[in-house]
Amino acid sequence: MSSRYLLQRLGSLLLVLFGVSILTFAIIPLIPGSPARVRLGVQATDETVAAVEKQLGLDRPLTTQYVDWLQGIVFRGDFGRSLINDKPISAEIARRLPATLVLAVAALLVGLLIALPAGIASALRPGGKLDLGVSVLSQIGVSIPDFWMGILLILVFAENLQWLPSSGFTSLNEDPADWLRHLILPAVTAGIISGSIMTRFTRSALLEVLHRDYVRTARAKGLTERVVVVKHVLRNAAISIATIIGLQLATLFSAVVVVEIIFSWPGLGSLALQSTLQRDYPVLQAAVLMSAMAFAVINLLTDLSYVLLDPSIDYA
Amino acid sequence: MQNRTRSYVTRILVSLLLLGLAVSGLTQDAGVERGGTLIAAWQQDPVGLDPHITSARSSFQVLENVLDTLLTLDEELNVQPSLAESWGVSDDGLQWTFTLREGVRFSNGRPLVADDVVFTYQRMLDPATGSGNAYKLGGVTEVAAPDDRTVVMTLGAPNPGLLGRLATDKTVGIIARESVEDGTINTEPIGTGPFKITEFQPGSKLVLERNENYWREGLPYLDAVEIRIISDDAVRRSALISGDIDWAFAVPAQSVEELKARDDVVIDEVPAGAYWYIGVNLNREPLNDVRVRQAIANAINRDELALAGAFGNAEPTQDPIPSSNVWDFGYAPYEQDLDKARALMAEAGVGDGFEFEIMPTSQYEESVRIAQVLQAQLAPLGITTSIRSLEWAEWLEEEGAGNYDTYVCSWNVLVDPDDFFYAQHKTGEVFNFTGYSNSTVDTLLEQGRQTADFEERREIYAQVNQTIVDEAPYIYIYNPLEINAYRPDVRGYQTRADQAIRFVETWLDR
Amino acid sequence: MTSPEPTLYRSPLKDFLRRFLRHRLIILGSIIILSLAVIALFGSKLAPYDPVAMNFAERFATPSLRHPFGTDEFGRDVFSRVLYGAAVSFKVAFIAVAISGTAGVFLGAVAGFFGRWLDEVIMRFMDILFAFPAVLLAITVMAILGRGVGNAMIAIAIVYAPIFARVTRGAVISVRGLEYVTAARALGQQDGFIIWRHVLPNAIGPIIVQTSLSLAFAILAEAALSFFGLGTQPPDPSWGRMLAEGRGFLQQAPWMGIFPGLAIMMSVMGFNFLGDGLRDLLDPRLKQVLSANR
Repeated sequence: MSSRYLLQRLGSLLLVLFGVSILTFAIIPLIPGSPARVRLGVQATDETVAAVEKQLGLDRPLTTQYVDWLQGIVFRGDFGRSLINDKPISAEIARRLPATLVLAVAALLVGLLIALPAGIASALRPGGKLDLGVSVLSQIGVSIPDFWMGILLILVFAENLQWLPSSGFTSLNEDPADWLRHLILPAVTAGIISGSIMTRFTRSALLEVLHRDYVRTARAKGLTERVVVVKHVLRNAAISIATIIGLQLATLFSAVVVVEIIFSWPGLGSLALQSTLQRDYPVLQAAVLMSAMAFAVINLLTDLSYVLLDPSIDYA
Repeated sequence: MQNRTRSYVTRILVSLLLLGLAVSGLTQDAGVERGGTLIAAWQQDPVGLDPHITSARSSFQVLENVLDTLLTLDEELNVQPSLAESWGVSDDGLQWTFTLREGVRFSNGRPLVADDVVFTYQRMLDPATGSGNAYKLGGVTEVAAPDDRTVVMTLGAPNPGLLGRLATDKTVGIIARESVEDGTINTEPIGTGPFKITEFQPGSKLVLERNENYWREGLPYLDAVEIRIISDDAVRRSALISGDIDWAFAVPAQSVEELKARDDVVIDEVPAGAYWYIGVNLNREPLNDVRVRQAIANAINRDELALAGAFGNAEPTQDPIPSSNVWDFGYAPYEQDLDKARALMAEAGVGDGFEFEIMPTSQYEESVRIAQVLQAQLAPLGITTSIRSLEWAEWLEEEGAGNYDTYVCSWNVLVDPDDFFYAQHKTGEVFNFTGYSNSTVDTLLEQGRQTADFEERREIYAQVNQTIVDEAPYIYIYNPLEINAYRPDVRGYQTRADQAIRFVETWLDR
Repeated sequence: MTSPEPTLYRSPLKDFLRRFLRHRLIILGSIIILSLAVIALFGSKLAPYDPVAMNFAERFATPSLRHPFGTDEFGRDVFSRVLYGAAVSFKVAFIAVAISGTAGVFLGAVAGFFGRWLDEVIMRFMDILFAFPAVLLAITVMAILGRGVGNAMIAIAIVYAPIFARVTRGAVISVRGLEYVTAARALGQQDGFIIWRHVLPNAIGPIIVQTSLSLAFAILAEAALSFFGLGTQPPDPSWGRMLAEGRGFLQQAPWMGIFPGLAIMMSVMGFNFLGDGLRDLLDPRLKQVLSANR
């Protein structure tokens, strides 16, 4: 891989992030309603709205606000303060970004725990009963909306069996066991859907490899099925599976927003949603920017790992 | 059932006689257990905690446990001393003098002085603050502190209702100037209340810890209250049943009946000083015709609306003041009578029906459910309605700008009749969103503010009540119940008619 | 999102079996979708009750012969609402995908065919849209435009347009250099004509497959928007809205959510079966191109 390629990719990543920041800044004020009005609620009058907007600096031209905002981020790593609750946004992001990342990774792990065995099993006997069963189950998994799945899991595992907490979050430093207990249900909710998607991809990735010449040769040489599968099939399918994993992680990163809301998980997605509803512009901008950044970085890493895994691809 | 001794005005007179007698807050049972953390669930995040700016109930329910007011209301809504232990009024009714309790400290240890009261109220009245709550000071124009324990408030016109105002919610709570000066007023305001805010993670949780400097001896019993934000109704319900939380604010209305049947959950409900209503834009045709509004009021079935909107946890009503309040008038000229409604429509020249829009807000699913039932109930009259459900921020803007035909909403935390009518219906008032204007009502509302005699006042508000119900700028639907749900081992908590959530005397029996 | 193009070698028997299975999927998918489409078209005639008619004497009625799917909190017939909801959900899905497909295919074709700066500009813009968290993008669009079915379609369309653009661009690039295109150029034919006549028809496979899969996503997206209270406005039923509302009544009336949920599941499965089947039938190599969707 040439460094030129890497630089080019980084450059376009920055370009995309810059674009995201401008786009967010440009469209957010188009949303009807204002943070001052949200703060003042039913008691807002034109005078009090104007006074609060002045305090919040919203009376400045949009471009000035944008430049100030960008300068704060670039030079001080400071996203400013929430217009609703005055909390520093950088601290909020520092708290929530890891939470979303943990949830996305945990969901991915759950998904892989489902997808790899199921995908391998069904690929080994395509058209068999197991294949059919896996195929139907994975379709069901994909077609259940996550909020519904989450509520069902809460009913069963939190309310009826009382094995796990219904919602909420404990920080890892505080109590690792409790942290894990809170993580399980949201991770499983998002993981089932993600696992269903990955099952289908794993299956077809394996099927492609299974049909290749070297697999047939290996079989002809009289190697046991286990050796064939482990040594030849899985290894060669690893590249496409790795791509799928990367894509799923990037997808999960933004798709867990519904799960975050159901389970009161303090992630970026729920922050972004809350700030949209409250017209908390700088918080929304920060959340969107960080989500986009995470999404782009995961994608970049996926592409790079891809290049590393398969040296035959030349991006020079 | 009217119980006049429960009127706070009467109590004010009694209290005036008791000048100088401090009411001790000590109501300790022998079996109280101290300590522990109560896990409470809120549905919505506090919208900032600056009491002068926010108007969100989710914020004030936090502040209820953090700030103190000069006066307070007991469970029966009688005015009681709090930070002020005595008070008096000048003969012309324009100057009120309050004497502060001794030995009160803020949660940061600094003693409370009269200057803090002055600072708080001056900030509230300052236009630069942009406080939407300033009207709650009931016409106070000037606040002064002749000495550390005395506060003098000057009014533009006499207002015997001032004491009730200063007791009714934490908009008028006393804050420490430090929190304004260091910019933490919106996140961790400092007060003299039983708890102090030690952690606020927006969207997740807020932690209240025992204020060691609290002036009521031996209180609060709890070490801490952890408030978690659980927005989904179904999840909040599950959390309560599974014991993840001890106490829930905003119990999903549809679950109340089911929860009542369980022995591991206590449902604690009282009629609230609140009402749901249809606000009608009086500047829109044909709704500007009183007969059209009366036709609507005659066409709707309030029992069904209460069943669908609040799942029966409400009392259908035609006037705003709930039957549990001493000021209830029980005026009910309407009954579901479609023929009468048709006749009124024909008189108004819209006998074949007309169209209008109903604007509920998705912030309160209740309003959306009400809108759907209204639509169904009006359809047989040839009244075609469309529903435009908006999210809160946009709804507020549209309501404020008068961009609606009708909307569905509720008023909350109302105690005195003035609370029920003045801000809503007096000509030109900022919350008079319907554009209602009636000079007789205006005069009566002013008179009501300046009248202390109960019977006389009752006459005045009976007239106001009847006029508003007849002219129907608001079409009243029902008075909701205030409902809290908690685990059976939560003791010493009581759901209040003024909808205040107070954990000061709450303890955990475990 | 470039991917290696795996070369395929198959045993004829396995290939046959595979295709058979896939055909079975196509058949199954088509049957499901066609029957749901019939319901969507004629549901209003089949429904035993007015879907918005309330009956307070029969709130939360359990499923019975009178009300096969029970009734909801207003005593409305859930069966009739599910039948009516089919039209709403299908309309949202088809129109949203039509919009995003048209826009995405156009942009992708232009980017892929002309390449150079036009490609850069278009695709970077698509990247920006793509980098927006999907749910938030949809919610923000809805917040600006206002809620309602029409705007939900636009919001879903905006979210999925970049995927169509990518898929189309990839497919167009793969045929752009082919002889007949070069020949058409040499003959001096207009670019637009060439794209329409020669390039798109040869790149249509992935687009068709993507369309089918996007329809499944769009049905789910409508449900997600309903969860946030956007999407269809009351009292009109859509499956997503019914499902989202039903979650608050799992104790009293689980049927309020289960039946619309099953309807969503059936249609998502139908479109996915169809999409997967078509993918294999049209061109097995498409898998890689399509793996870039979310």
